[in-house]
Amino acid sequence: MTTQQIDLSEWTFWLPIAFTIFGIGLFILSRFWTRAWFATFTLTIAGVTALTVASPFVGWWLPAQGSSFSGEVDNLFLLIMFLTGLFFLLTEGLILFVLWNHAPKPGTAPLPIHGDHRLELIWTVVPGILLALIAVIQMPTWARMKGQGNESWLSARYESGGDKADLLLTVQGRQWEWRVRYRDPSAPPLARPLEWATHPEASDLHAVNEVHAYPGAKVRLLLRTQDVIHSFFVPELRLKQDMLPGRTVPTWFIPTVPAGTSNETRWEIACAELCGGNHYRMRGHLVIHPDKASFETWYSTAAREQSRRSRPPETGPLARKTN
Amino acid sequence: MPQMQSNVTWFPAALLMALATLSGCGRVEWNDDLEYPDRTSSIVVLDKPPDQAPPGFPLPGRPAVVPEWLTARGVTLLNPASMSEKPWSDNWKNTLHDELISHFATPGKPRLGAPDAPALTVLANELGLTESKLAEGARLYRRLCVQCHGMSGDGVGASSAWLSPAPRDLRTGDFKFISTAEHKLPSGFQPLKARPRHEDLVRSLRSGLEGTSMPSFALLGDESLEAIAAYVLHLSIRGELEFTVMNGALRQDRETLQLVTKSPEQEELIRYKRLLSTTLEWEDPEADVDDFVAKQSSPSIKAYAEKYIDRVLREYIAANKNPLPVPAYPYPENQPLPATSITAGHTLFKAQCVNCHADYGRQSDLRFDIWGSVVRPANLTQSQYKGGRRPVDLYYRIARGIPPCAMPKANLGDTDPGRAGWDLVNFLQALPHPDQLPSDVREQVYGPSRIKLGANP
Ligand code: HEC
Ligand code: HEC
Ligand SMILES: [Cu+2]
Repeated sequence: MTTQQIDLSEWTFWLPIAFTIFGIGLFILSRFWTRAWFATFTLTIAGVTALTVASPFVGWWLPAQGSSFSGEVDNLFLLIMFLTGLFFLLTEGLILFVLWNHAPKPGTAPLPIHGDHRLELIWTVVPGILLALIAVIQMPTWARMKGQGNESWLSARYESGGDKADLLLTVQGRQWEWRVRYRDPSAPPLARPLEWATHPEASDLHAVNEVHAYPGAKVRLLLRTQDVIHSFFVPELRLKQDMLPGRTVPTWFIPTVPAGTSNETRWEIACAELCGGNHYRMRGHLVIHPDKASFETWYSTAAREQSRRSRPPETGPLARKTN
Repeated sequence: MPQMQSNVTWFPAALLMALATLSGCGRVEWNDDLEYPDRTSSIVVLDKPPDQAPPGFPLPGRPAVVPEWLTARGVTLLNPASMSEKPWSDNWKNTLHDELISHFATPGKPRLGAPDAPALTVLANELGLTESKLAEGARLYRRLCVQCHGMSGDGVGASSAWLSPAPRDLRTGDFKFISTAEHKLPSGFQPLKARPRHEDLVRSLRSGLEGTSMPSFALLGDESLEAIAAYVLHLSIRGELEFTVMNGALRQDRETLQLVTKSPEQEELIRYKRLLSTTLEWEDPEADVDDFVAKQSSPSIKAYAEKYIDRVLREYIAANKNPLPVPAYPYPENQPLPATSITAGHTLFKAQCVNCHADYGRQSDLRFDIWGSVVRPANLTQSQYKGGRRPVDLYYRIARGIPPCAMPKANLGDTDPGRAGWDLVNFLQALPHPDQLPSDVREQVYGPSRIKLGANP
């Protein structure tokens, strides 16, 4: 009934065909022109390098930094980007060198090589050292994001002691939406917040697909899923955390916005774990209010709506007509 | 030679990969020449429900309605495939098809009301079912709903077999979560159906139906939700007309196709006429009764279709203007739920609700709804509600019942029905939270051994 129709005016239709023709063309060309591979690789590498260098200047770079640890994460990213970029250029340069100097010469047999111990040792040990270095460098950031750092408001063991979070909320993923539940911020703090994730209280505020917070708020997130593995991802927060069936996964963030922001900021919450047919549709919004007061206004309005005991105001075409 | 071979396999592999990438490409709109499929699924006649509770929810990948099981227990299934054999009228299947096309057109260009029936278009526009809105709604429906609810709203979209409860078949005109007042009709008349108000549909779309696979579409924004709601009505009214005509024809019941079915007492007829005239603004209230009856009797499917759509549209308009009255809350607002009220609600619940919501819903038996699919009376200790958790939503549920699931409306007595209603709601609100219940009620609901006082006592 709902058969797929092929639309020839869609550029995505032609893309794989173009690639295929390009591949076949290159294959045939290389039979006649021994520099064909060298030319292709040079163009590709030059293109990729130019794109990367230009990206920050044309707005294709990282999204805005929106949490207390986003700067740290970006520094790690840049460090790794720099290291891998360096080695990319080095290795690709070598490939180009080899392609130029050792292009096939008709009538000569290729020279077989059986490896070189010293070389192999070098290209195993050097990356090994670098990887170990990266592993060590990222440790403090990782520990901090996982609640093991010096965030004094987080209890290191979630089960006991209690956090001094400003906002405690659970986000429950399911195919395909985010079910959100806030704990009443004015309620006394909990001794075991983790258990609250599975034991709702009467005063909780229920919402869907929208997480609200305000700059500087210490937000404690308890992630759960009703079905398969999902992943809570807000690029601006640099926070990506899987939600595992049967488990409550705690995480946290403190949102930041540029000073002087007077409107609410909306960032996309995207599911980052392929979770089924409509995975792409599993989106929500993280709404950062400009300040605590406007968050509180929003919260009390939503809480009042949730305890509504009268008929909601009429909307829709008939209501508009009589207005 | 081996080299040759690798060259040969290279081509088909590349082509296959290209084709696989292609398979994701499709158009966003319905094709212009696409038509709604005629109904082929059987009509389940649950006048007499089967004597046995359903054995369980259907297994994943199996159809949600279990026809073999139902027929084995004496439930009649009317199969539209056998329609053309009934001697009801010449070629009536084609007539119905033509009528549906002329009034509702196609998914690509939906409309409500044939061009030669301008009165219908006027009513439809009043309800907000304009052609531009329907077109927008159809586009969004194709993108967001069709995989569950199907192209014609039949509830058997591609992924429906894996969902429990099953996606709604929108083609009977029945909705569960509604907030309309009821019209009492004299016996012998086709009852006015409980119609959802615009509010109700938009609420369902905005919040989703928690506990089912139906998700929230809140982020689309009000404009889009309204367009989708309009298109849902388009699908629903189309399906309902088809359903009603087929139902009548398959039962070989000519009278089903009359809007006034029997010849009641003159007095009742006048009352009925008054009611229809005033609530639905249908006929002139002072018009002659015989004239009225004559107007409701349809000599042909064509005439019937027009009258039926006219009536349904008026019912929707009336529903919007006729919300269920919500009595004022008799206790102080913004206070903890009063213990006396919760206890009173508990008493009402024990008297009226536990036979379905056994053990407060923790041990409910499965049942059938009017679509012949399996429902479970809700587990009310879970704090999870399909139709919304606002106290007013719970009030609507108990004051209106959930007609398609045979959940009756609560009997709130005559002395102070408003207070009784809120007592029940207060009890329902406190029920999932043991710490909110007065101790004697808590003892009865959770028992000494089952008390768990929330997360952090
Ligand atoms: C993942 C599947 C799924 C999707 C997608 C979906 N629905 Fe549903 N829908 C359901 C299920 C399941 C139910 C029935 C729940 C029940 O009866 O318990 C339902 C029920 C409904 C109802 C009936 C509500 C009532 O009051 O009885 C309407 C109307 C509806 N859906 C409209 C839509 C529209 C419009 C869309 C697209 C914007 C949509 N649905 C998308 C699964 C889905
Ligand atoms: C004839 C059986 C029956 C009786 C009696 C009954 N219910 Fe129900 N009830 C149901 C069924 C079936 C459902 C599930 C509907 C669904 O999930 O689609 C339900 C669902 C509900 C829900 C959940 C609605 C939602 O939004 O999910 C509430 C609340 C409820 N019933 C309250 C009551 C109360 C209060 C009474 C007594 C006054 C009562 N019911 C009596 C069958 C019954
Ligand atoms: Cu997901």
